[in-house]
Formats: sequence, structure tokens, C-alpha cells
Amino acid sequence: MNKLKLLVVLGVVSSLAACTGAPKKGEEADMNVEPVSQEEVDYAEKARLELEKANSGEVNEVEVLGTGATGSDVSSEELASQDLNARSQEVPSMGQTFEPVIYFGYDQYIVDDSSMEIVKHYATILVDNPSEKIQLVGHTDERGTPEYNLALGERRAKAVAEAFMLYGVSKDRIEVISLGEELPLMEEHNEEAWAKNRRVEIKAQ
Amino acid sequence: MKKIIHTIVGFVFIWSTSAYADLTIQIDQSSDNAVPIALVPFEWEGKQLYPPQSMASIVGNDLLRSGKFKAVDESKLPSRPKTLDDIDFHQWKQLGVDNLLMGRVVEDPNGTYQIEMRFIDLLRKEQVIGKRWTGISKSLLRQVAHKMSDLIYEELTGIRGAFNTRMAYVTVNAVKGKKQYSLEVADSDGYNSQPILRSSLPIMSPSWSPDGQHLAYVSFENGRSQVVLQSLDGKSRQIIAKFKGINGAPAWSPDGKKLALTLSKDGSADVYVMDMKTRKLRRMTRNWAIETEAVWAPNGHSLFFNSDRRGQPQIFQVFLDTGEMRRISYVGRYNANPAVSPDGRYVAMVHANNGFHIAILDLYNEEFNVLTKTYLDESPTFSPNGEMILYAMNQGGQGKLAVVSVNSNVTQILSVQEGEVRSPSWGPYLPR
Amino acid sequence: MFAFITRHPVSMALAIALHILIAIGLVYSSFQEEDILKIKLNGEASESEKMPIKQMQSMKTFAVDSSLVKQQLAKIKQEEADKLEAQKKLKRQSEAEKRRLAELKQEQREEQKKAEAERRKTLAEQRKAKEAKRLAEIERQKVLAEQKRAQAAKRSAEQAKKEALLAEKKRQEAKKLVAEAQQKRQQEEAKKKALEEQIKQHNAEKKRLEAEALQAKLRQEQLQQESALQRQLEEEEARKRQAAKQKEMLSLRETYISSIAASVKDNWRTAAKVSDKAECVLSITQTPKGMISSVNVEKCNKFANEQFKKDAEKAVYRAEPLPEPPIKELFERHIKFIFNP
Repeated sequence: MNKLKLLVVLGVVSSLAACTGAPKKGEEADMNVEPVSQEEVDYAEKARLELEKANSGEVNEVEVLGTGATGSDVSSEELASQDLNARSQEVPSMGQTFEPVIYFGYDQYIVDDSSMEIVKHYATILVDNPSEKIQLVGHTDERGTPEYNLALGERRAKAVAEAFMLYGVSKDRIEVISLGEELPLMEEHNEEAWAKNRRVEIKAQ
Repeated sequence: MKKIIHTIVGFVFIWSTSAYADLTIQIDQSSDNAVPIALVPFEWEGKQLYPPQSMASIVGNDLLRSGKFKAVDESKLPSRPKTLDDIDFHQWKQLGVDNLLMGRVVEDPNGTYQIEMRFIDLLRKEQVIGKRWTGISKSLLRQVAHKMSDLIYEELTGIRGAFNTRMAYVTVNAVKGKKQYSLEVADSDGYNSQPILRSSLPIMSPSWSPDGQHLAYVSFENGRSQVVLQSLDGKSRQIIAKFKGINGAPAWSPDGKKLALTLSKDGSADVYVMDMKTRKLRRMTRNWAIETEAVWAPNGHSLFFNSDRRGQPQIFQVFLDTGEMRRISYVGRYNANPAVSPDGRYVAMVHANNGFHIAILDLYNEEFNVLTKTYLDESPTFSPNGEMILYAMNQGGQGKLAVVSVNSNVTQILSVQEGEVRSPSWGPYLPR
Repeated sequence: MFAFITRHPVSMALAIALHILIAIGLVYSSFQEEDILKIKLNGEASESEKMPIKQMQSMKTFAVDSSLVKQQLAKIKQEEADKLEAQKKLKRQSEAEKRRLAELKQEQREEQKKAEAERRKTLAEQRKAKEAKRLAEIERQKVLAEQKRAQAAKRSAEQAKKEALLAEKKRQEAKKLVAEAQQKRQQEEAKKKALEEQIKQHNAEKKRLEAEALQAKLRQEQLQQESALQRQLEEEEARKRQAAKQKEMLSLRETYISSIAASVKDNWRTAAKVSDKAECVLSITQTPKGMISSVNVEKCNKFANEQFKKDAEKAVYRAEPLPEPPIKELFERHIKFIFNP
């Protein structure tokens, strides 16, 4: 139950963060943004730090700029949401028996037997706590093209989602996300790093 | 003869204040057959001791990058003629020089500049290009130099130069131990880089609008992929696709009225075409497989895309009118990320065979050639004149860009001083 | 007709032999029958055109000599009665004969024409060779001897005829038409025969002469050939010397032009996209020192684009000064060559 509590806490943090600036789901965010000046960048930095403080968690920042950056009437906007990467690393530090990560072979999306054990473990927790929801975040290694890998990451996350459903977790409690090759766990360019990077992370939503 | 020529390094230092994301260009190979050109430093009339930009150097580096020309070392110029009458043709003949560029930069009292160029054919002993620009602001001087390069390139090759163009790319830097992604736009020589978006989460797949005023790209700023449209001046920005599942691979149609993109909202990743006015979507593929990385044929009638419906990624073509589909790539087991040449003749793609390389398929005769030998090559994009392919690769564990000539072996490597650079996209011709 | 005769010598001989036998038979039979038969035979002869005239004449003479006198008086009355009948018959026959003779005349005229032409030809040939003349003389004498014999026979026949005419003038008169016609025909035939013989001889002679002429001609030709060969050899020798000289000059010129072409090729450089198959004719005007006065790029193939032409011209300028000729005389102000770098 300890683990689940942690998941819940993280979920609260992330939803808070999501409220601060990200455009609401389902609506198109039209933003008119002026070019950046140094003062404004400083302001943006300050705002970002404040937000970071308020959320007591990681914040994503986005700065929109323009090529004609010579004027002084510049504003920027801070956007914040959850840092999935940072949180996924927190989970195993709590003495997790099952690392909430499923690994895959090169160009594969098959959930093997040992991975099914992991799925079963978390599915059991979810079944016991019907209000909880999860995110499955798919990743690939750096080989292959970025857009294809984005789709491949999703395919892996969907395969894991199917496995969760097999253990009785309903579809609407699972959110599938892909980050493709964009956020590797290991930056090296070798087989070992690639094997670690081909993964689906199980996260609290 | 293999030469490593480090160019522009000096300029990188000069510009380092605002341009840490400028690209350093390294030319790997220069052709023996390169035509020599004398670039006489331009005459300068102004308040300062030196002109704000060295026009001749900018032109020299442009022409050098094409792999087709070589500049005579400035210290070896036998004379510095200012007019056609000054030229001792015999002198240049002995040097084996065929062409000479000379000109002037004049600073006007209002702070703008006048630039004059004369391009001389030393063999035929005549001026072949003469041009003057007036009222040019300081910030546009480099652009004028690139225009000169374009004129010279066209005179000597019969092909419009693509030096006065821009490219977009993504840099990744660690700032205070945290990754920072930046979508940058720079001149074709890597100068004047300017960020148009910075984010702590990934940015990928920039695509130029045909008018060169907008970019569509994929941003993960909200924790998942979204397709964003942004004007280059930063004044307008819209998230145009943030459906459930993935939102990726935007590609502007040649007429600028449509955008192809990849969505998985209806199941697996499929190619869609969005009408830019109505935002209505048309689904182009329906398949359990991954179908993505769509690009437009130059006539706008078909799309080339990547599909793994045969188990491995291969390039297919779908016609918008009929929905008819056909496979394009047959060599090798992995062909992805197509790019179509501006004349529609070639399809460049990422080809996996002993590593990932850029290959080119000639649609006229089905000839298939692997163009690159670098590591983890991806994201090919043609120069608007179709002479060069810009792509991303990895060298020494660092992401870099490279440019390969479609017809010769000349390769240049573009890298940032710190961090990585990836996801390149070569912009369209700018107005002449 | 001669052709027919010569073509069928056996049938001819048989015909003659048969007629002789018949004539002998007739001599031993009656005088009257002989007369009728004679006409019949004549008719046959005119039909078949094979009757030898001389034999007929001697046969007739013989008949008159042996039996006419004996039986004539005894049978004179009978003959008087028969006379009218015979006259009628003769008239009919003579009419038929006339037609036949007319036809024959026509034919003979044609034959004569032909024969005449032949003769002229052969006579011309005769003059050419002595040998031929001699042989012809011998033959002619033979013919003359025969003719003499025939004439002697004729004379005796005429003698007999005169006696017979004296004896029975009336019958002879009745026969006159027939005899005249016969004679005419016989003369023609004799002439024809003589001609035939002549032609035969001439043909043989001609063949021989031709063979000789051919021989002579061959000898002549051989001689001519020999002398021609000699001449040819001499001419060839001269030609060879000339050609060698020209070749030397030509190859020097070729070397000169190709050295210019090679120098231009060495100076070919292009930054443009041009086809490997592109080629143009370069027309260059130069000074004796190899300085370029003008360059024209002409007659390009379809692979040569504008940029190729431009760069070909530049290659010429780059090659300046153009290489000098090995011999001053070989210098050419205008040079043309196909440029295919």
C-alpha cells in the first residue's frame, strides 16, 4: 500500500502542475506571442522559479520567441506540466520489488512472461484501488527515425495496456503516451543503453 | 585528395555573444575539379576602419561549401583590381584563375549601406554579373552576400543557388543540469541562428511553410506530442493537433493550403491531411500498421510515407485523388523517413543496412544509391535547388548535421559548439 | 528451211534414197505412169520441199532415152484421148502450183535476204584469212565440178527433149507450163542447195576463224596484261612514295590538331551538371603564336546543354596559348575538332 500512496501523491502534484499553464485538453491554444528581449527573459526566468516553488516539483518551461528578436516589447509565457522522466526515477528508490518498467527487444513490442509478472503486480494494486489511474509511457532507442519511433513507442505502450486489461484493469483507467526516442534513460550509444531505453514506464496519473 | 578545411571558426568567436547556437561548418572533402575563383576583398568607404561584414569571405565560404569551387587564398592574390580596366588578364591566367569577384561597400550618411558587385570571366575577359544594392541595413549585409553567391553559382552552373535560404533545426543543451530544447532558424551557412522556441521537453520535426514564414513542428511541452504552428516572427502560435495518442510528422503541402500529419486517434498511427482553413481532417491510410512521415510530391497530388504494413518500414505513395497506393522502396529491409527532391525525381530516405544511412532513389530509372557513410543518419531534407541533402547524424556521441551533395561526394558537417543538433529542415527559396 | 534440212540429215537421206528407188521402179514400169508419177512426185516434193532437183532431171532424161521412142507410136492414139483429160488436170495442177510457187517465192525471197546477209558477213570474213580462201576455193571447185556434171546431164536432157519436142510438139507445148515452173523451181532449189553448202562451209570456217581469232586475242591480251602489270607496278611504286610522303604530313597535321584538342581537354573544368555524352565541334581561330582570336561552339549533340557550351569555350581560353605545330608549314589559323571531354 505504501507504493500506491506514493503514486497518489504524485498524481496530485501532476494535476496541480497541469492546471498552472498548460492549455486545457480539447481546445486549441492560440497564443499571440511577441519576440523576446533580455528583460523579458529574466522575467520569464523569475516566473518559472516561482512556479517551481509553488508546485514543489519539476516544471516544464516553454519560451516562444521569434526571428525578428530586436524589439523590446516582448513577453513570454511559462508552461508547466509533469516531468515524467524525473518521477519515474523516484519510484524504484522506494524499495520497489517490481520496477514499474517493461523492456522490449529491438523493434519489438511483445510483452514477455517476466514482464507479465510486473503487469500483474500493478494490475492487482489498481484493481484493489478502483479510483486510481495510470499512464503508460512508451519509449524506443535512438535507432530508426524519430517519427517512426514515436509510433513504435505508442505501440509498445498499447501492448502493455492490453496486458493490464487482461488482468482486469478497464481501458478508461489507462492513458497511453509515447515519447519515442526523445527521452532516453541512458545517453550512451551502445547496446546496453539501447536495451534500457526500449521501455514502457508505468506511472500514476 | 582529402582535406579537412575548418572554415569560419574565427567568425564563430566574433559572433559568440548572441549566437551560441550558430553552426560551425566543417568541409570534409573538396573536389579536385573545383573551379578556382579570385575573391578580391571589397572596397570599403565608411566611418569605421573595417566594414561590418567581409562580403568576399561570405561568398567564398558559400561557394566552397558547394564543393564545386575553390577560392584563391587572399594572400596569394597578385593584385586587387577595382574595375575591369585594372585587370591584367595575363597575370590571372598564369595563376590559373577563371573568375574574379570584386566590389564595394559604401556606408551612407543615414547608416544604410550600398553594395556593388562585379563578377568577371577572366577567360573570356568580360564582366558577366554586375549588380548594386542600396539602402541595405547592417543586419541584411550577410543576406546580400548570399544573394551574390546565388548569382555566381547560377552563372557558373546554370542552377539557381540556394545560399540565400534558411534552415530550421533543434538543439539540445544541458542548462543547469537540465535539458533544454531549442528550435532554431539560421542562414544556410549556419549564421544568424535565432531560437523560435525553447522548451525543457522535446521538440521535433519542423516543417517549413512554402512561403518560408511559418513552421509546423512537434512539441512535447504538455507531456505528450502535439503539432504546433508558429510564425517565424513569433507573433502567432497555434496548437493544431493534440488528439489522443500521437500527433506528429507535420508536412506542409506545396500550395500551403494543407498539412499532412500523423495521428493515432483512430487506432494505430495513420497519415491524415488537414485543410488549413477549415481544419478538417482527411484520413489517408487505414491500417493496423504504423503509417507516418508523410511528405508531399512537388505537384501536391500524392504523398510519400513510411509504412510497416509489410512488417518492416518501407516507403509507399498514396494519391490524394484516388486513394491509390503503391510501394516505392524495395531495396533492403528498412526504408523510412522519405524526402522528395524539388523536381520530384528523387526520394531520399533513411536506409538501414549495416547502420542507418541516407539513400536516394531515382524515380525515373529506379536507381538506388546510398549517399552517406556517417553514423545514425536520419531526417533527410533537400535544399530548394535539389543539389544538396541536409540530414542529422551522430559523430563522437554528439548529434550533428551534415550536408551531402546529391551528385558528388562532398560532405560538410555542421555542429553546434555545445550540445547536440538534430531534426533539420531546409527552408524554401527566399524572394530574389 | 535450211535449218530443217541440216537438222534432219537422216530423214533427208532417207527421202532421197526412197525417191531414187521409186524412180528406178518407174523406169521399169510404163512410160505413162512415169509421167503421172513424175507430176505426183513433183507435187509431193513441193509439199515436202525435199525433192532434189538434179536427180529428178537425170531421172527424166533416163526415162526419155530408154522407153519414149519405143512405145510412143504404139500408143499415140490413146494419148490423144488422154490429152484433154491431162490438160484439164494440168491446168488445175498448174494453178495449185502457181499458188505454191508464189508462197515458195515469198519464202525464198526471205531466205535469200537472210542468206545474202549471211554471205556478206562470211565474205568479209573470208578476206581476212588466206587459209579460208584456199579451202573455199577447193570447195567451190567441187561445187563447180558437180555443176558441170549437172550441166552435162542437162545438156543431154535438152538434146533428148529437142528430139522429143520435134516428135511430139503438141505434147511438149502442153507440158511447157509445167516444165517451166519445174525448171524455175529446180533452179531455185539448186541455188538453195549451193547456198546451203556454202553456209555449211562458212559456218565451219567461221567457227574455225573465231577460234583462231580468240586464240590471237588471248595472246594479245596476255601481252597487254603483261605490259599493263609492268606499268601498274611502276605506278604503284610511285603512288606509294607519294602516299608515304602525304601520310607523314597528314600524321603530323593530325598530331598537331590532336595536341590542340588534348590541351583543351586538359583544361576542361565544369561546375555544372553536364552529360558524359555531350560533344560539340569547336571552331577556333588562332594566331601563329597560339593566341585565341575567336572560339565558336557549333554542331553540338543533344546532350550538350548551354552550360556545357559555355564551359567548352572556357576550356579553349584556359588552354591558351595553344600548342605550336611541329613544322611551321602545318600551322592552321582555323582549327576544328570534336570536343568530348
